[in-house]
Amino acid sequence: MPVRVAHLLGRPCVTGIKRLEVVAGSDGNPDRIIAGREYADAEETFDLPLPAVVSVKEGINLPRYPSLPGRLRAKRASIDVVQLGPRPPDGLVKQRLRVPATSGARSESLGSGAEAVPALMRLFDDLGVLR
Amino acid sequence: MTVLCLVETDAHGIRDSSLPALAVARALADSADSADSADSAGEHLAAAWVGVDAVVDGGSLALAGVDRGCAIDLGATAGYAPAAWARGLAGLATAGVGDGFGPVSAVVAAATDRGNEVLAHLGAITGLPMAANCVSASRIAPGRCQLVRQRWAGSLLEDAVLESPVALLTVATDAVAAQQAGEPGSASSDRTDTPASMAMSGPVPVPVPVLRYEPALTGGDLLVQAAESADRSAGVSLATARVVVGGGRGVGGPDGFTMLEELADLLGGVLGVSRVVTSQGWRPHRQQVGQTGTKISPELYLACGISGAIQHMAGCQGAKTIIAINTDPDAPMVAKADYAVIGDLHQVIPALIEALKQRGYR
Repeated sequence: MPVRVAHLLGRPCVTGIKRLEVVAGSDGNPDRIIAGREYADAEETFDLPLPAVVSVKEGINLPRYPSLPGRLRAKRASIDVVQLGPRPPDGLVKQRLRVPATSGARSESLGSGAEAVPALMRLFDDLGVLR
Repeated sequence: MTVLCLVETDAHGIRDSSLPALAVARALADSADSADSADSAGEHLAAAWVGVDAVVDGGSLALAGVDRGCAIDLGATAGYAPAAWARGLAGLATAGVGDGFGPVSAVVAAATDRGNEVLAHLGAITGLPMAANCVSASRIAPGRCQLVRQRWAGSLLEDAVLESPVALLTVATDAVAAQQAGEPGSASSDRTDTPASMAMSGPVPVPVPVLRYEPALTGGDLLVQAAESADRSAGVSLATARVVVGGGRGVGGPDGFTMLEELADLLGGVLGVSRVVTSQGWRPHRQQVGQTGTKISPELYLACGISGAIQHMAGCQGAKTIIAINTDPDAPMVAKADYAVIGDLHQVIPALIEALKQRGYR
């Protein structure tokens, strides 16, 4: 959705970012953003002129929850309702949702506490993870 | 007709995350056999990548049933540019990938950050619908595909129908068995639309024609480009590690990760953590495993003190073997793991480290 909105607005866009830095221009006003996200085991960085569209991933910040006075003010706020114009039918149609089949098998117990270490070592050998 | 699959590459060739996308694309192409009697041999499969100098593993292409390679030439644009990549795919989808291949009926990519982003741009450019995180796709009629795709971090599967002249799909990287990769080869793209022999040492020495395609870009297509970013470390990465030692809330605090790092070193692996750990500031976000972190697919995932929330399991369900160490026998991670040790990780991990050292591991 963010990409489609960006195209409709004619703005640059980057999605799934986990770092965002606003950069001021020569007049001191926000001018650009530096956005970063994980790629493989590195971070790729994007430099976008404002205004821009970004979508963020969980972990980019800690949510700031509204205060009680803020919530009370929000209840009195007016909400504009915008009517959508005609649009073509969706090309992607959901038929049903279902829970993936599982094997139903419980995990195999290797024991309790430090007494399970010999079983863990044998399992490491069997799996071939020790080199 | 042709199914076109975007493959991501790195210095070693096609990235592993693109192999499931190739597998689903091949299955989609083959399914046209029953859906359209006029195309009784199924559809062709073409693989597209960005950069004429990209290292492309000819063995993987051949084993994935690729009939045609397409190197998208973005000229001096070296980095990842999502809109420009999409413009290249849009051009190929419009112009086709060569004589005898017919029109492009679908564009498929891996459901990575880049794959989802590029196909979203492609959908916006073409005005076509896109389906993300598919685990299977088949042609049920011309212009209609039956899909199964992951929803809610893979906790649910959705059956859906996509009706579109060109189906745009991304493939969940951890839900589809990838085609077995072949021996390294090379696909030359130095000539335009000319068959290029793949100098393969693998078992299927099939010549794959490679089309070099230069899209007409607009100014806005290059407005967003990724800066080159070096790997953080020359060592093992979380995404490709053979062994991952995971730590969650049960580790108790930032100091507790020292022993997990030591264990990971002894096993030749790396440390991964759950979201609560990064939210608490105990470890950096880049070590997070999960839906909004890194998706891992190691031989062994040793999950220590991790409850096993759906969002975390979405990132580790690609692990071949999961061992849970947890004090709570009813924790979801214990139920979903292959093996479990019920106990305090602060007792189990030091004993395990000691056992490894006694075997000579340092």
